[in-house]
Amino acid sequence: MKEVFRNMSEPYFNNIKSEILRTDLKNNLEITRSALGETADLNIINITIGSTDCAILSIEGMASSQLLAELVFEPLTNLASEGPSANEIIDMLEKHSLMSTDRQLVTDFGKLFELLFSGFAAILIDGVPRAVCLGIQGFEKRAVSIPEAEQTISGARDSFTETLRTNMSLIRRRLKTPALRFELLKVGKLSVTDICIAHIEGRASTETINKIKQKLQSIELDTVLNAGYLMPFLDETYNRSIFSALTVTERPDNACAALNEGKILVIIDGTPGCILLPTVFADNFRTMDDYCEKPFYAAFSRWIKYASFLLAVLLPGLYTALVMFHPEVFPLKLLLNLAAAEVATPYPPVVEMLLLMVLFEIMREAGVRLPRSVGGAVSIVGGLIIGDAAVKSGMVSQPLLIVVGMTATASFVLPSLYPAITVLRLIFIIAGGFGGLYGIAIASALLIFNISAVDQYGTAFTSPLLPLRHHGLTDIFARAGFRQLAKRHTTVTDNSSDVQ
Amino acid sequence: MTKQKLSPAELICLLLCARSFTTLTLFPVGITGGLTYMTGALISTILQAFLLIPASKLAAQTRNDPCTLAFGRSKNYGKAVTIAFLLYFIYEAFRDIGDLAYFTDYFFAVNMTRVMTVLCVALATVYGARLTISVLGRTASITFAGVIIMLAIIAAGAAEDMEITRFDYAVNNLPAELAMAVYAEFSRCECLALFSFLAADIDGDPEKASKHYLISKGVIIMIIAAMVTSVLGTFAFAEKLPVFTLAAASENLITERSDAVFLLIWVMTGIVKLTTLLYCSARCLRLLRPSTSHIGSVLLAGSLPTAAALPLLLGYGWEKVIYSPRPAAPIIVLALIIPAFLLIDSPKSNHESEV
Repeated sequence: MKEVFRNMSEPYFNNIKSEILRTDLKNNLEITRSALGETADLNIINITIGSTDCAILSIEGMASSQLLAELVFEPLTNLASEGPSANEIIDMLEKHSLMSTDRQLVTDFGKLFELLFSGFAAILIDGVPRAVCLGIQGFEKRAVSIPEAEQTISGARDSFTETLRTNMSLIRRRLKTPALRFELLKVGKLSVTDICIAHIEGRASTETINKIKQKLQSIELDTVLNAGYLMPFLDETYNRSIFSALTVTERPDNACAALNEGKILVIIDGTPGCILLPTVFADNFRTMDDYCEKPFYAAFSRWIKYASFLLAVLLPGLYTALVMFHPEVFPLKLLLNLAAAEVATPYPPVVEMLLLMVLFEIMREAGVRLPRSVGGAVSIVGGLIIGDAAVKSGMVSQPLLIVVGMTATASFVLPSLYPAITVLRLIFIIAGGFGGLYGIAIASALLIFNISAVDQYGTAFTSPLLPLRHHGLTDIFARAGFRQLAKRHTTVTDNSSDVQ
Repeated sequence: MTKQKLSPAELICLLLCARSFTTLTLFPVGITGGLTYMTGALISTILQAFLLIPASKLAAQTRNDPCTLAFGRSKNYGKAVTIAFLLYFIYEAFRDIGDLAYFTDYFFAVNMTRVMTVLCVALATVYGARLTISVLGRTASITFAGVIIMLAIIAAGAAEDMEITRFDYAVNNLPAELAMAVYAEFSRCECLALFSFLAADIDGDPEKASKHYLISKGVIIMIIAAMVTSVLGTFAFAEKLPVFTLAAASENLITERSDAVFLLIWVMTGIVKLTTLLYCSARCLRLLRPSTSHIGSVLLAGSLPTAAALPLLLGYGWEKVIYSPRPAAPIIVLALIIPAFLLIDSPKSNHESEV
């Protein structure tokens, strides 16, 4: 028997997955122990019910001890007094017991191990080549808490957690429609991570759902530990564009709004970040707060975000280009001030700008990874002390520091675009510093080519502006009223499917 | 990237960017007044409406470009038509790339040599030309929105200096001047050849698209001509980059002059035009040599005009190219004669004649 499982160094357990359970209990336990390499967290409790030997298998920490005692040990102990045969025990467990809401009958070792590692307790009975697995999960999990990365003023305060089932329930609680569908898959050869594809039947494109399923099933990774692991496989333009046409959200309300628009949500067990796809560029500028405010203010706030994006990407590059090559565009007073400030510094504006931007990124990176109390200190040291000292020592000019400050603030307006903004900003500074506005024009053309080239699952990233979809456009430059939204708008599916 | 079709609006924007670049770069030489030029441009646009009928009908009927259709008739015929298109696109790309490098060097104090200027623009356009036509269409739409904004900024800043009397109504020989303006406008419409080549790529009605394009083109040319000549008068026809000169005099609350905005948009329209020309050239090359890879054909299409323009630019002989007359014959052949011939010779027409 052991020969079959001799090569236990094979990490994917392919040699045991299809092995069926034996009739002999001792044999089954021996195979289990051998396959799992006497792992310390495997609990095997042997019990004799009547004259039948049984074993209850569970993984420590994954199954709840209390539930195990209440739902498994107690009923089985009571049953022992009746002295049932093996067939009577399995009959009771399979047909007459209500011990757990999640009950599965297993005939092979692959499924048995999978369920054990998911927090199930398995009951093996001597003389029966099957196991009854009861869902009594009791692993530690984080409670639903306030979203950390996507703050809103008036939106909901709950966020996704690391537990897949909790995340599914957060969606179901908001969309009580039978059209909401969850499909479960397993990805990762070692981690066997549960992945759930959520969509609204009739809204999301069936072709896209099938494509996503196909892509997920073909992933050959050992582990899937967060959304980032799946992005290269799901994002069709991952290596071709600086922008990502997928959004990672931790807000259930955002996810529900997107599902209503015909998008697809991919929930990954073990991470609070869920993937929404396909995403359009304009989605980065929408927040749940927009739908809590009056339309005029929401539209204003949206325009502020568009302006922030342009400022964050273009301002340092434009400043460098104008100061170095086209100073004639500045009004005379400003020109004199700028000239006076720049004359006092030893480096050309492009070097100053690059230095400050890199320094800013270092300080930001330091602040992000540190505890909040220390993170604040980093901001004070970086922003106030180094900034002030740099100006006073004449290393950088004051106007340049103002530009960097404005740019940094603007870039925080759009957290989802931050990685793209950071890289683009540096490209524009280099382009402006070496080619003036000519360089900026070329970089702008390349940027527009890059944005236009993103085409995800048949949806252009520039949609609904290009190609033009009038019904989606109302929620891009302004915020559509709820009467209009009630007619249903979408940015990702065809016009034909928009009809109520 | 999926192969997608262009929307009619995207094709129109693509052609408008190409046409605007020519007008923004230089007004036709030898015309004496703004009014004459505008009238000539209007007449020319009306004539072009008739000229584009065969090309748009052919695209609507066959949904194929003239080169592919010609290959369908016979291999040699196909080769001849494709080479004709290819040579014209390369010639236009050569003029475009040279103009970009020459005027950037001439007007804008940029810390780059002409070689670097040419290389930068060539690489950017090769990057763009390897993408799909729908991507070029979307880029052109955004760029054309930039053209409108730029014109609005310049016009707002120069509004005080505009005077209708500078249109210069006095003309010595009106018919001759008008004929010259009509011809000048026609010979600068290389976008007609582009329309003939790309009309089949749209997902709408090519005939409607051609009408909308010509109306928009007429309006945009009139606006630019009116803006510039109302301030500069007849000097507009002697100036290099006349809109730049106007932009330099255009002041607003934030900036002292608007030439920076002009440079930004002018270069972008140039890149869009050049990218479209390279994309079309690469398609022609692949028709001639189907074994050529996509990137290989784009690189070859990009390197030919670059290599041709560089010696003239480095030898400071580009002025001759700028003021050399633009031939109208290729436009007539590519946008009228070839599509008309293919239309007459199309299987549908043959079938009808048999019946």
